Amino acid sequence: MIKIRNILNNILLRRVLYSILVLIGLSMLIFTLARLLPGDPARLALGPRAPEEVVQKYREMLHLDKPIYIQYFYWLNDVFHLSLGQSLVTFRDVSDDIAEFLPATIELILLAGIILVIGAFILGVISGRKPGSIVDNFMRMFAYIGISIPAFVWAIIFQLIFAYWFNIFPAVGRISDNITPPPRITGLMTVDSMLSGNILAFIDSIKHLILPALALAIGPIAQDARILRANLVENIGKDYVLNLKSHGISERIIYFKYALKPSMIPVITVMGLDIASLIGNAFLVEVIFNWPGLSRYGITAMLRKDLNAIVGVTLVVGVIFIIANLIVDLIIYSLDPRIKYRER
Amino acid sequence: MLDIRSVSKTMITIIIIIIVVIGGIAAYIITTTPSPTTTTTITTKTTPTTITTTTATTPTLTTTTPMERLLRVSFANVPYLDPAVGSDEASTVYLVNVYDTLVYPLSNGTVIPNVAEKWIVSNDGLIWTFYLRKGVKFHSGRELTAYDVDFSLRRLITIGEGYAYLLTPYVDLNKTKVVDNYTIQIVLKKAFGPFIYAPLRLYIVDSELVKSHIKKPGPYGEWGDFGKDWLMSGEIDAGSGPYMLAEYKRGESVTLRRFAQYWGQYAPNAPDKVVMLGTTEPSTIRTLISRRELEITDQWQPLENIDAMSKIKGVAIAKVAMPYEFYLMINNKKPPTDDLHVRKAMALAFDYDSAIKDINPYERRALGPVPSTLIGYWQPDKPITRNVTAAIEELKKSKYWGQLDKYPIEYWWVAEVPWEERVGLLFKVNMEEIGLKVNVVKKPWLSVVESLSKLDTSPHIVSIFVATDYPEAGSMLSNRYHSRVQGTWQQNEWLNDTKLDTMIEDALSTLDLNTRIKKYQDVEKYIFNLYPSIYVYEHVIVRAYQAYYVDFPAAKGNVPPILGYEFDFRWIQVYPEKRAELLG
Repeated sequence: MIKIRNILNNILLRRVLYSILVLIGLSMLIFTLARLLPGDPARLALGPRAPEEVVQKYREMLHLDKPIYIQYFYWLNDVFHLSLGQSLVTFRDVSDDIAEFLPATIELILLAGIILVIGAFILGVISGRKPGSIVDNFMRMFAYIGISIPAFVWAIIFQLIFAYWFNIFPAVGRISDNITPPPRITGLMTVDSMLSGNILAFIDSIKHLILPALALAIGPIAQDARILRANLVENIGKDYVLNLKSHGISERIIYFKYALKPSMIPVITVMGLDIASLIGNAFLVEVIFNWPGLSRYGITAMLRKDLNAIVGVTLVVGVIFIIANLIVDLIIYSLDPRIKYRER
Repeated sequence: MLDIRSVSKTMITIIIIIIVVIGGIAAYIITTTPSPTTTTTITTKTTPTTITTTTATTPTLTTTTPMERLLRVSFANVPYLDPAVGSDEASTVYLVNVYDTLVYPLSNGTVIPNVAEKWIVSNDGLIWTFYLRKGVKFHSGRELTAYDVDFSLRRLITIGEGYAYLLTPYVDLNKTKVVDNYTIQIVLKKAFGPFIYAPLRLYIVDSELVKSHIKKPGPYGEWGDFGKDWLMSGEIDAGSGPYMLAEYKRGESVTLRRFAQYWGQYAPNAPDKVVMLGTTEPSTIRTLISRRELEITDQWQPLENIDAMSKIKGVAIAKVAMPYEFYLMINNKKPPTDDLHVRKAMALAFDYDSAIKDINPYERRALGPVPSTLIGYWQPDKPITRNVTAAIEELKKSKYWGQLDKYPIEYWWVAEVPWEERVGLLFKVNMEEIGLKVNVVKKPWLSVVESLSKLDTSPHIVSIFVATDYPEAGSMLSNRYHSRVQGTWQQNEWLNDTKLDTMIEDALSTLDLNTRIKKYQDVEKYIFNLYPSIYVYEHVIVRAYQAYYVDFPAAKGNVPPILGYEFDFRWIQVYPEKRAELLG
């Protein structure tokens, strides 16, 4: 009994247990919703002219002729065998598809996340340092534009400016046709290039990453910078800061050491969610840049009613959100231990 | 104790150094143009052949080309690589180039020998004996034999996907047999006059290679998965066609390379390498065309983008007539459209000229039940033209006259094709002129397919493009108007006309071409007089292409009217030196 209590007192373990429950609930929900969509997935996959007996065979293979709870049982059974079922679009296991496409999206999100964190902090700190100044007003304007324009519009704008007009960056793909791609180790083109010592491929893959990553990151940068700026301004006006000033501590130290740290907590929470949600926002950006990522695969699955792929992609996105939240919480605990103790 | 000010200065210095280093790296990355890590020089061999086609004009070069001839084409998706699976445009183009077939189509729709040197048909039309040419090599190096043809046929029909539907209803696998290494006898269950077109979709695979990659157990009994997983993986191909699979980037592109030992001909400047790109995003396509990183676009570009691309130096627009037709399919069983006079009135009231001029200026007017590019096409003596007065007079003959307000007409358009809404709105406005109330409804394709499976849930009218399987009128007639397609998206008319069914079946079972053509035309006249549909467009595919350095035969109208052959890459010519001129 004490052991169980100790386990539950362990925040990380608790989070993992809750996450598993969330994923099970999510899988049930999306499994049911996908099957409620109109259209016969087997017929859609095989085309309108496929013989009925072939279509029926596919329906049996997907267990579509069985009650929904039986279908879910079969799916769960597959999951325990590390399979997410067969995709009706690619005709192979969904887990293989996800393994193929996920690294491309992860790579994109990682770079977008790095740009987001650095950009949001720099802009938020600069704005918050001198509220009401020309710089602050300029950043405010940038924030409004950044938040109101969707990622795919930024993608088109960047492609137009940097690939069409000025021909600085490539327009599509992960690597140029005239470059030998590195052997697939992690699936991340940049990492695989470094691991195989292919510097040209590394440079080329970075060039391909910049525009889509920037397009994804601009909106969240603007939002998070504004949140950080607001928190900084609020904290700068607090009594403890006045107290610190009265002790003769320099403004720079007060700002960066005593005001910034508490201001970061809400921003980090939002940043974590923003980074996780990039995977959903990435779809149109991936389409525009012909990026073979998971978001594009997921939307294609939904449009083609690829049932197993829909559930598989949703679960992966769910896992990413859970991991992102976990990392955010751990960072917050380290910034403000009071939160950790409160949770206990 | 550490001086705060000096620490701050140190920090600032460090930050400045980091920024300068990052900036330097960024500048280097931006300005570096990585040089190619692969260089290719291709030597083309002259391959003797006795076949001449109307699409080939000069013999193959024997010289080594100093610049690689690269052709990049965009498609709606990356192809399926298994000949027994793919049947969409991208997949068909891939199969046409990587695999061989027994026969080959010409631009007038007829077929000539290809891998089969000749064939004979029994008097009853049931036994087709194909005699194969010797020395045709697969990409693996093995010689193509009748056993490979037999295996490919059985594989296609057993798997049942892709183009199997063209062969499954007719081929009797139990009686089909290999006579010897170069002779195969395909036996049919019933006579089918246009059967010679079916082998156009029988892509011959290297049976030994495929068999060595079969996974068991699988859904096909003793044949396991029939090598499907392996073929779809893109490791290598199992074909003998003019191009080989060089690289498969799943979800992104497919790259093909010329096959040095191909038995057939190439145009002198045929591409050495072809990239099939799976994207239709308009801004992306326009960017690639302007940077000369794409040679031919897909057919799905919006008109605004086509117009913008046509203004780029060296870019022209190719208009390729294809045997697809856009119909307003009228439900012949639901009031008021169950009345012939109502249907005729609608056909007379519709503004065909505006549908072309204002909505789709590149399309051609459809005049009858089948497109004019098909063998056996019948042109009406008096094509339907808009005549509002005649439409009203016709409507007055209908049993619903005087009560039309009680019978609103529901018109569906497919949500995934935005311009179809404009056709629907035009139809609505035209019908209001004659007193018919129309509700224009947007429907996702999935909903359309499901709703059309039952009469109760089918709308009065739905607008859909229909393509043919082979270049004879019989293909469209059977795919559109025969009762067997009732309950599918191919027919909303619900004709259920046994006389019509008999006429179509009789035409299709006729072996003599001229007699068959005559019967097709009789069927078309019969259908025309029923006014079951409104014939709007014959499809003209519009693409932008780099006319300055690409010779695209389809742009000149030199193309077999069959899906995929517009991109028989060996007849497209690329001039890299001219591309270099454009790039300056």
